[in-house]
Amino acid sequence: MGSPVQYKKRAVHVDGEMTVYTCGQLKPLLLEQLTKHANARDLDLSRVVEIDTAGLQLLLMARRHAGAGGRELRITNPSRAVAEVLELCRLGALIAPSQAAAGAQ
Amino acid sequence: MNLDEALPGFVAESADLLREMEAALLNCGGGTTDPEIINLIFRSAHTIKGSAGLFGLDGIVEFVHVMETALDMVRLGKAPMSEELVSVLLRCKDHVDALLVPVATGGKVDQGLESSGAELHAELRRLTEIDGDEKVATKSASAAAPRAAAADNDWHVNVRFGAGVLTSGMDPLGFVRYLQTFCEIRQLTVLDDALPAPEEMNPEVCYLGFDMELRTASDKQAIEAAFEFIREDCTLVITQLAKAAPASVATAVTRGGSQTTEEPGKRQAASASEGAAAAAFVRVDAAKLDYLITRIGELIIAAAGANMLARRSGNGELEESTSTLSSLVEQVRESALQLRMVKIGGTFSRFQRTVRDVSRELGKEIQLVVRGEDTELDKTVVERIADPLTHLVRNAIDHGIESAEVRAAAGKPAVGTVTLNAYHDSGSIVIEVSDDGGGLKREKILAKAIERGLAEEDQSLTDSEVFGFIFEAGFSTAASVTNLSGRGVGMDVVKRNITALRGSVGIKSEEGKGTTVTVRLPLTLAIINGFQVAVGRSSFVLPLETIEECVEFAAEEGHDFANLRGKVLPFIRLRDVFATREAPARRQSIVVVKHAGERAGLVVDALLGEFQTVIKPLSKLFRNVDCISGSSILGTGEVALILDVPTLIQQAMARGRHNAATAARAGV
Repeated sequence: MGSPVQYKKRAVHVDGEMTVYTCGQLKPLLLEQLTKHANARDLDLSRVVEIDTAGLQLLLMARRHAGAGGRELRITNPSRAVAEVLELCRLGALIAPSQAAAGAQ
Repeated sequence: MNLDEALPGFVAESADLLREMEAALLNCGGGTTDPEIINLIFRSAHTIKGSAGLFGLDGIVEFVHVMETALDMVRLGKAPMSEELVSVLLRCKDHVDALLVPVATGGKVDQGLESSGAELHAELRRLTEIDGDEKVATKSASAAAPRAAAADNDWHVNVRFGAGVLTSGMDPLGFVRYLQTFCEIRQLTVLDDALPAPEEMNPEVCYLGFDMELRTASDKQAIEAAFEFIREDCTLVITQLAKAAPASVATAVTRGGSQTTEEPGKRQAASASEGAAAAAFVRVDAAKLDYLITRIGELIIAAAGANMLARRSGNGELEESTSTLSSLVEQVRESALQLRMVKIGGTFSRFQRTVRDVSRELGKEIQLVVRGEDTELDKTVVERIADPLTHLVRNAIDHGIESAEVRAAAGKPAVGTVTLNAYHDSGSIVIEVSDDGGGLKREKILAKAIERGLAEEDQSLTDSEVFGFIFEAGFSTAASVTNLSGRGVGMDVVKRNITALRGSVGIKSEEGKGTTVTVRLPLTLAIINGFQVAVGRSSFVLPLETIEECVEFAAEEGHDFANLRGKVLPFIRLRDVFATREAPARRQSIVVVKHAGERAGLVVDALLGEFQTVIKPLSKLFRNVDCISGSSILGTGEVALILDVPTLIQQAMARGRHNAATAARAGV
């Protein structure tokens, strides 16, 4: 326990808020995990309780970081807060295809 | 900055908007079709809703939304602005006021308020025939169903946010969510091209923008207004897309990217003029202003001290530079005080509503005439005068103006007139509340005063003295007690409030013709132009505006009055008032002071000249001391008491009359 960004079951998990209040702390952790687990393609956001523009920005950054390494990072298990923001921003495509339907439910 | 800190700003802004809305509503009357007025009302509601949305004040958003929809119907010509609708909207405005109270104080909205809100909604819907099931869409885009109306337009909106918006507590996504409440977002792209490399990115800086296509019945201003809170902190380009064109063509045009070449120029021009309008006013915390004025007060004292030392030193250059300094300080003082000055018009216009409501309640037809609304006075004074004035206006309507039948019988116009007037007069502001009603009944008041032991039967009293009795606590001659006034509370409170502001109140009345209540107030509570006098070793300061002239002391032998160019001038010796022990100076002077049309002389030992006086309030201990209104510190560091001229004049007058009466009695 402890870190809000953890690697388990081949996915990077983010826990808690992804807001302007937490992004300063999340950013290095997220980059660290993504770099360490170079084969991880999934970003599990099932435990993100709140996300704002800063959080969205962080997601886009994570994708770009992964993209630079030649992999496409997908969002899996978006929580309700994440799904709402992605829908609002027409970014539903970032959700892993098999997960999109589940997230919408 | 955090959102909570912005909350007081929101409350203040909303209160302003509500006042504007009220004024416009009162202005338009029933049946208006003037689009300017209706738009103004609509915009006020819209802006309040927008801001409330940002603060997550759902209760207010929901309530104002229905108001806004109703106004939209009027705007589109689908519902008339009937007299009834105006009344309901006025009540809605009050309701929003009430909803803002818990926001400001951090309390809870009570149940009664919610149910009365629902009631108002029902009335609004009835009057404008809005579908009952229309609700504010806050959840998803699909809920914000397009209000497929002919007036719908398509807009292309490109917005990029300033780097600091996140840390200042704004969430750009919030603006998009808000747009959804009145727009259909047909297309949205997150603009992330400004996002730097992951390593360089600062997660608290905003790099994003949105490119959107909206369809809405609202106009460009409404879309712009959605971004009002960060207008300074974003670049916003709104372009109207070709109307009624097939969607695909419209999209093709926007995708072309050329639309940004023409419109930004216009937008810049528009925002420049908006900027100018916005820059005309800066909202400043009143406490900061007070602090500035206190500091300037200290500065004046310090400058006076330096000036005096320079004069004593005999160094010409030093004297010259301190005198330049003094004149600059003087100018700074003037402009600092100007900062606090506001026009009384804002307070006056509030009474339009009072008159409307009260006259309806009483079934009287009354018009309010306002004069001198540009007269300026200190903000604190304005705030504290509002309540007493309200009472005076209510009194005028309730007791002053007669019923239509009585008026007709007296040959007066059926519509009664209440007049508010303001003007400057010798360093004070005078506010008059007059009515053309029945006037005060001198005999009745006198009888009541005698009954209550305030006057004696054989006493000869002037009209103003008799009318002055109505300011006594518990004094009422109203035959019937209404729920507005006439319970004998009020006028004494009015007087007390005005006196507390170092003001005075007088009353003139002519039976059958009307009554005028005159309130006199000092222009400011902070600094005055003083005139320094000495009695023995003590210094006193008189407000310069109250001084008419200074003459050499020459009393009529054995009397307390002087002959001033053939007129009797009652005087009092400050020496006696303050029990000064030192022997009087060889040549004493009389300072002739004037207040509210009366003049009296003050006998002093020496005249020391003009002096910028910073008023330091007296401590509570001395609150009940007559004749002194405050204290000030001289350049030497000594304390000088500021004399309360109105009280001194009253004393001189009372003594004069007393002496006259004794003399008359002795003569009999």
